[in-house]
Amino acid sequence: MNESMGSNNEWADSAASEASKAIAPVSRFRLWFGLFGGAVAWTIHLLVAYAIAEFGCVSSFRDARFLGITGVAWGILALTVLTLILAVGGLLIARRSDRLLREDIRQKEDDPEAFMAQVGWITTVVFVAIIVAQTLPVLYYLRSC
Amino acid sequence: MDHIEQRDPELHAALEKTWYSPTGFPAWFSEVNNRPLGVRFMVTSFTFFLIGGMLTLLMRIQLFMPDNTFLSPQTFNQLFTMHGSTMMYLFAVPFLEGLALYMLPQMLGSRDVAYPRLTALGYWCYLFGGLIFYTSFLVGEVPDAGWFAYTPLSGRDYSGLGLDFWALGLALVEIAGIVAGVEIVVTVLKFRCPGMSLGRMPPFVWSMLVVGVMSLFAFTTLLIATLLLELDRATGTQFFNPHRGGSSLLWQHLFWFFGHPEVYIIFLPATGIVSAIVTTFSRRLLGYVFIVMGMIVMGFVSFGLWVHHMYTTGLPELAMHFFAAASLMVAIASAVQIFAWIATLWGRQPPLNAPILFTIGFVVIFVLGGMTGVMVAVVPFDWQVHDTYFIVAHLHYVLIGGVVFPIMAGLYYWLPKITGRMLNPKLGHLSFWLTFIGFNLTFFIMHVMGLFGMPRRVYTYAPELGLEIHNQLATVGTFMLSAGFLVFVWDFFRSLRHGELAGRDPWGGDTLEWTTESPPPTYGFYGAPIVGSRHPLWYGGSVPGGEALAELAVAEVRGGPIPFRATLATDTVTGKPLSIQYLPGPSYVPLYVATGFVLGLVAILMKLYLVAVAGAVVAVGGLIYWLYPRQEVLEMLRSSEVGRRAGLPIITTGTRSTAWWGAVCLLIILSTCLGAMLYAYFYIRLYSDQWPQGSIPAPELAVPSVAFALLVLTSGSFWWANRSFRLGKPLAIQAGLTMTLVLGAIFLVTKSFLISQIGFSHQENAYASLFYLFSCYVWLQVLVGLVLLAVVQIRVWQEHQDREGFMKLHLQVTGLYWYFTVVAGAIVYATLYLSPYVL
Amino acid sequence: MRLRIMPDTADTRWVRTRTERQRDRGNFRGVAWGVGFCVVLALLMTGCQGDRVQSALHPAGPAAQTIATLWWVLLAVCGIYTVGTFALFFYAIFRPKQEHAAPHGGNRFILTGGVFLPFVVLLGLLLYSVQATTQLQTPEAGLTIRVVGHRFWWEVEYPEYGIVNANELHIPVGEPVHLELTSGDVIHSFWVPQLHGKMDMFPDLTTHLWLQADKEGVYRGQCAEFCGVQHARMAFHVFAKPPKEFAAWVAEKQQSRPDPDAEVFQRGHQVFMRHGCAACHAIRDTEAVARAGPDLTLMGSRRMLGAATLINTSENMRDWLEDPNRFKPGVLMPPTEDISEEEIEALVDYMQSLK
Repeated sequence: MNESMGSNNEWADSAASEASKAIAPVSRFRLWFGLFGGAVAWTIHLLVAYAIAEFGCVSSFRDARFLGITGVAWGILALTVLTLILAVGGLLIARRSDRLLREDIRQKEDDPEAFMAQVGWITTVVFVAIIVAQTLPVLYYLRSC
Repeated sequence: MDHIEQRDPELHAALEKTWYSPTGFPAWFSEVNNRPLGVRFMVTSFTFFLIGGMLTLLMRIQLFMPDNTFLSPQTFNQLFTMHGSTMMYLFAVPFLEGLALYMLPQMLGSRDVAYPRLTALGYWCYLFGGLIFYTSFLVGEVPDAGWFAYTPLSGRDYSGLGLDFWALGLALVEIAGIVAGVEIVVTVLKFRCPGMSLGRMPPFVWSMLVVGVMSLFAFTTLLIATLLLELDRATGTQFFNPHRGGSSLLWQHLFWFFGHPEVYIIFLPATGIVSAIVTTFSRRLLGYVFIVMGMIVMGFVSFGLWVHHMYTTGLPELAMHFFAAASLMVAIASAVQIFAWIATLWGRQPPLNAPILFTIGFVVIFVLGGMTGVMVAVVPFDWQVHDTYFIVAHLHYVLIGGVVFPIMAGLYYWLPKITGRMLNPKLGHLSFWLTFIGFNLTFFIMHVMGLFGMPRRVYTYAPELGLEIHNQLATVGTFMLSAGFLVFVWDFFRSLRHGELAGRDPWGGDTLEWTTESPPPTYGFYGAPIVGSRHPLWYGGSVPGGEALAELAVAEVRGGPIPFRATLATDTVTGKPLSIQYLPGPSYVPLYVATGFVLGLVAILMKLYLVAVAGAVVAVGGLIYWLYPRQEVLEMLRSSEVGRRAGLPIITTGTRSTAWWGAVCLLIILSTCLGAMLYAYFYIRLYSDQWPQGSIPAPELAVPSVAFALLVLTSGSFWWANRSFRLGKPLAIQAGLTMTLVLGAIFLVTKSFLISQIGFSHQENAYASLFYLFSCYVWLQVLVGLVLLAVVQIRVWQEHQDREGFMKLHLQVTGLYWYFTVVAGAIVYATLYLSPYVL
Repeated sequence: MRLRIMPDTADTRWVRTRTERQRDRGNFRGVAWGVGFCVVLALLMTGCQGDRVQSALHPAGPAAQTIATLWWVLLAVCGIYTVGTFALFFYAIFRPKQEHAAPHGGNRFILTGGVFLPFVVLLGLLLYSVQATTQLQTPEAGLTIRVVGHRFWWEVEYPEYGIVNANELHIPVGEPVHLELTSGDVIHSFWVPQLHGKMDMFPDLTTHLWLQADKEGVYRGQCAEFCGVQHARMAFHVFAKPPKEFAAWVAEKQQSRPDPDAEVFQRGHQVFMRHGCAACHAIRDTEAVARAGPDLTLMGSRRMLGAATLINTSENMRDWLEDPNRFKPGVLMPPTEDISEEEIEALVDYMQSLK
């Protein structure tokens, strides 16, 4: 019963709703970033890594080496570091939002903010895992394509 | 049967009148309501499903013995091409679109989908596309290059008219797919009933939201790919011609960039159906968050798997392993859903009725298909089984197990809602066991056949392979499988007359579709329901005080029924009511536009290019008539009391308006078009030793640079016009818009001049073809933009005072398009004119 | 609108009686056992069938062996995972009813079974996959063979030895052989399952593959990328011979050419030229040099006709020459028209003499 009253009030009275927005502990940007940061990082990782591999291994760039490791491998490792920073950033923000919203007694599991934070960090964990998995093969190809 | 919704007969009659479904000839063709059109989608696509299934029976008879001569090789190739194309393009996607169009408003508590006339356009395009596919049988020129149509086999040198039927029919089906994507995305984002925040959407709705977004990217890529293929075939461009600088492999990249997401586009709704059924019969849903997570991960990662269809094309090994990693990891997204269902079902003892049986069948078959999916993601193993019967087995485990079984489960579950009659439980059991056993008999053994060396797409096999008995078992299984589907069809027709009446809620379901009558009235909901939990019919949905009516219904109760079609639009995240959205009524325009498309495409098929132009004129004229703002509608909305009574605006702008969201979808589609073309350009560039190819010189820079600079300048003048509009300076608005128009027109004229001055033919080589492609693309993009600008200019002249209303929205939408045009122009300039000097 | 509260057991419409449920479950189990039995039977039946000429599970070389091992590992890992999932799933459905039953750990159950465990297992498979791929990289190979896919036959060329053959590869046992693959028209795919996985052949790219046979024998290969009407009858054989025998084969075939003084040549070659065979076919050291169809210099030595469609006997060749469409409808070779009995006999004799 409480739940339904709360949910009814949350939009029924627009003034109250505006007020609750003002003191909501997490901004919309943080929620969206927590939700899609990992996904965006993964997208960048796959597309750019594919471009580096396809372009690097076909063109004359193939034989460029630094410290005994191919330029292609360096490029992909650097890319991994960058995208992991993005993804882990998203993960931390989502985790933090989730904690903050849990503390906020007005938030229940199916309220949009709490929900976005929760789905956000779980999703981002998976994307971080996939980025790591996509990088591991590079370790076998440090010296050639 | 407890009546959940107390019906006020007067209001009911009034709403029925507003939301009538036209019947009789020719009014039947003007239907725009989502439910009748959803049913048409489902009936049409299920018919195609049965036809596509019959084709397999013929193929399996042919393969019953080695060296059989029941079918000629030509016929066999035509049959498997049509089987694959039918199932992938004409059955799976349209069926689920139809289900979504029918069910989404029901589950969301809205009265219709976001763009009713677009629904109709989608249906007519789909129907005509399917008919074009099958007309090929009448002409005797059936497509025979497989549903994947690899170039160069599908090029003009190796394939006849059949491939044109294929490409043009497919183009129409793709348009339907894209249109449905827009429809679904905007409906889910804007038309959820009050209180249904992101965290309360039923899993089926979540799956359709993800699928809608995916469709925009996937189908658009395929549309560009088929456009390039048809250009090659009809006008002699060289995109895919290996002898003139084109690439034979490019098609595979483009095709699978669509093809793999396509698999998930049909699999995701299936998981949504399963979640709905599991929830209802377990009386709960555990792991909702994980299910949503799985869907989002699938939606993204499915676009990163396309190369796993190309492991044997000799790509750099390193590049393949990224895709191997993604292909393996996407299994997590499925696994997490399966474990959520296991947790949900744990100790709930669901009844073993037809929906649950098909769900169990789904899990069993899909897990097996998923496992072979993991296997073929492993690169060296795929080198052996790629293009063998192992893959045939795998894909049928995933598609029949992962899609058809859930669809059957969904039909047994939702047909009572749609037809109002229950299906027979005994026949349901029979149908399940026949399909389940028949399926496994047919396809399990195919794993073994593949490992023992039977390639795909062969009309016969050598006796020395020793695969006779395997093939015979598979053939027997196919007939059993078909019998199972026939039992369902029979049960369906039987139930229409003799089925037990279903009532509102035969299963005790948790989602809003079970609150309305079966079948639902034409207007769907009497008033928008209010939702306070994920399972609104079970708990948390009731509102203190008894009568919970949202603003729309409040307005209707206080002031009588709204005299026009309208539904409630809410906030994308929270589900807070934002506005009342006007929806158009029955119209012939969609049919007219679709007819224009068909006329144009069929004329291309018959090489009557003048008729094709006429078709284009018909279609474009129809579109302009469709989109041009109706003064009388605007007046009606402005003078309507409904908004004031409900305390919500009727005329909205920005993110509150469906038009704005539609424009955003359009931008996604257009950028995908551009992206696919850019991929083609740089891919061909990468594999060319010399660029520009052949004896073509690098392009002159002077004139194009000036022209494109002018185009970029228009963004400034348009911004100025917009700002003046906000500040209310009528003269400055006019000046800004005029400047934009003039600069744009100068660009267009210059570009036309440049195109006429190109010193080589588009048939010269792939570079030349690309040069023409991009030039024409930017020309067309700007031309459409100028038409939009001209309309705005006229309308601003008429009503520049309307600073918060419709005019503002009009400027916003045009602005989205025009800014995109400028960006696209800059990208085309950099690609076409600068990149040959740099790369 | 009034929405109702739905407690767990309030709705009786679909709740069956206890006996009904037991009967249901009994039926379900009975049929499920039946299905399982059939599947096992089918597996057993298919497992023990003798000679396999084109099977990935009967490897005859190191590359195919690596992949076959990979398959058994994959089967074991995925098999265990499948059985585990099924066990959990059916236990969940059939376990005794409880009001608040949930698997131990709740969300952690889903996370472990659906995310963590799969991730670990899949990561292992990924690393194994990469490892196996690097193992399969082309070794230093002595011999290079160029194979060109055509609709619907295979052109085989030994550039180092100047030998051109069709639909047959002869290779030495125990040595890696490097293949350069390309296509003359559409995309094909070269595949000899007992020796290695497949590799596509493109008109505008050269792809590479290597083969090594460790056992003497004949291995069947087939086109694995749909290439048109006779895709199904585009097969070939690989003959693996001991190195000495292979060297002798090379020496012999390098010398092959028709003997212009022989009687078969004088009768047959005329017929060959008169009926337009030279428009597509080549025979070494004669005026026939076209390469649209298979080179016929070694025709008489081939085991099969029409890319492994018919056994190469004089009788079959005669029928084939009269109308190849009878055996391979859609083949690009036209029937030989207006040819007399004598002529065709001469032609067949001539062809069979080319070894």
